[in-house]
Amino acid sequence: MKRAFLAILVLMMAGPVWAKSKDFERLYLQMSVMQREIADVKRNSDDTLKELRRLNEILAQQSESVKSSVHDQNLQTEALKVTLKEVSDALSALQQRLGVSATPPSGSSPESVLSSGGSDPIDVDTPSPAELYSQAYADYARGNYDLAIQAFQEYLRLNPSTHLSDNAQYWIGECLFGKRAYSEAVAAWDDLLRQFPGTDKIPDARYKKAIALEKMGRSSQAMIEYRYVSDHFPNTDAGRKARQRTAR
Amino acid sequence: MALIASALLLSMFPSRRAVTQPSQPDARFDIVTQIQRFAIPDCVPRGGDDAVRDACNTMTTVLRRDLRFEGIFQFVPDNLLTAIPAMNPDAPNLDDWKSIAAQILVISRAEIKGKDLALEVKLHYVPTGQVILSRRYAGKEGNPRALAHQAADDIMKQVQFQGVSRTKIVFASDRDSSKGHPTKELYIVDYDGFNPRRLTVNRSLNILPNWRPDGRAISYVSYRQGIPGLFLAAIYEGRSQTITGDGYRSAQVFAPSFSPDGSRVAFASNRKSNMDIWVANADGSGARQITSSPAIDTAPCWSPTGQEIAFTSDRGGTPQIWIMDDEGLNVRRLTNVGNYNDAPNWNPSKQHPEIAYTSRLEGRFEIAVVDLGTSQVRQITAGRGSCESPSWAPNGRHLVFSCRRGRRWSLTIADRTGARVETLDVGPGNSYQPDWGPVPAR
Repeated sequence: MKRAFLAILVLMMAGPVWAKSKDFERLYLQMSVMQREIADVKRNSDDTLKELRRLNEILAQQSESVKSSVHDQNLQTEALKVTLKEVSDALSALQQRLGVSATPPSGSSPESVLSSGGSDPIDVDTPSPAELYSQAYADYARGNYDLAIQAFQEYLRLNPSTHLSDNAQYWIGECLFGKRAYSEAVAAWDDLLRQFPGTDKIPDARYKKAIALEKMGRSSQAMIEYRYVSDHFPNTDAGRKARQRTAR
Repeated sequence: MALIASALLLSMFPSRRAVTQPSQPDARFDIVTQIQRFAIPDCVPRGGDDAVRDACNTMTTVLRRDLRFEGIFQFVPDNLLTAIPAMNPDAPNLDDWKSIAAQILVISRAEIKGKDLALEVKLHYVPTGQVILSRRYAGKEGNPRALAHQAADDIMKQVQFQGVSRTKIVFASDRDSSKGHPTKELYIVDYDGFNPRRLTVNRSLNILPNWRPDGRAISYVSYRQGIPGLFLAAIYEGRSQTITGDGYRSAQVFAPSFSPDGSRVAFASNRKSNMDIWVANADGSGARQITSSPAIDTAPCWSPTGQEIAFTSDRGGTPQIWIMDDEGLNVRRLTNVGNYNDAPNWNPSKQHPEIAYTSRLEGRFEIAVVDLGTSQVRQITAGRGSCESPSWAPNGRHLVFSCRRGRRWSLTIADRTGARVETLDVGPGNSYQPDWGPVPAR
């Protein structure tokens, strides 16, 4: 009983000291928590700042990308404009080659040519004879023989008696020869000889006709052509070659 | 509107850009008809050693350069490539690539096992997410460039374009000449100037090389027998033989040119006392005289159809470019500008009927191109010294030629408009008379 009383007395005396120490401890704990929270806030703030910087960089890069994209779009627009013009030009050329011309061929009704299918008339510039001839030759050089033949025929239809008309007929023979259509090539060169009897293409046309005949297996007819060229045009390239052929 | 224009264009030129895989028509249509914006991130090495990293770096560089060379694609700038977060090469997040407006993403990975190098390339079409190419290339560790060239060509094929990444250029050079004994040998380099190899080793003058269209042989003129004769070097067999033809060994031969099908060779020769154009079979047999004018006819060159030959002749008083058919008939003069035009080279692309040649303008030699349809001439070089001997790339989009600046002759490459002209570094010495080879078969 005496021991219990003493203990209570000691506790009563130490009470305020113990209470003060508890307060300090609580205070210390609270300060620690606050410090941690401040550190967390600071860390979060740093992270946010970093994220903001990163986003800012991405935004700047995307802005660059958009700028570049706009630039590219402009380029593409320009390229498309050029393509459209090329397509338009090519269409015009094609239409002219197929006979759809702003200047209708004689004997045909303008409506029948320009208003087919009920669509609006197409405004097409007619190429000059030289341009038409050049287009035809360009197609020959590309190996587009059918297109070239059409274009040379169109040239002849529109320009039957220019200084290039006999050449156009000669080229039709060359195109057919290029297609290995030897019989048709011979016919085309025969047309040249018939329609343009004064052309300077006679020796070359007869010589090429002879080669086509040879390719068709008609050697004796070919030899007659070679002899003709050799005898009548001895001082031309074709004449000299024909002489070599007949001398074999 | 763009689609209409593209559709019209496709319908007008079906052979050039035919859509070959109808299973994915929309994507293919877009890919074929639009200007593409490529993203080519760095190649990812499998394994971490220096060798595979180096190979990867080389392959990335070559791939980017090959695709840029043609000048028809656009590219995501390098600084934007680095903005994309690290990716899984096997499953890239295409939204990231969409955000920087990439249309075609080229992902490459490399691996070295023993002495073998492997390159894997995957092509993603970003707008639809399709994988449009997935291919593995294998080769020797020491040759990463060859694998990258192959991949670049395949990538261009996917967008319906024939590239020249695997092509080679042959040229004459005095680099191995010694003092008191001037020689010229023939050398072959990749189209970008790398990987030079010597073709002839006879310590003589070997000049005017011309590729056979199959890419397996080169005809050239050599003085090894005293007078200039016609020779054929079989590249893969490593041997050279004369194809001058029996009975003509005492005559001079110059400027051989193979026909597009490789069956015939045209050349200039004085076999009948005057320098004329001749055509023989590819082995030199069956030679026929094609021109027989009293003028000097030389430098023959075939049209892509094989039906015509362009050549240089002074029959009009000055050297000019003329055209004739392959029989020597229908001869007509092509050039009228300038008093000295020489060395014609016909654009092999049927899209562009035109001939490049050397033209003397204001006392200097320049490269010019004449359009066969319009006869309009455009000048390719200006102010780069004296330039000559043009030769077209097999797709007809670039020219290679030699230019003298100061005292040195170098190879130079220009696009067909002349807007971009660059010197090609092919090594020491003077480099002359380049000839651009064909696209090799697989």
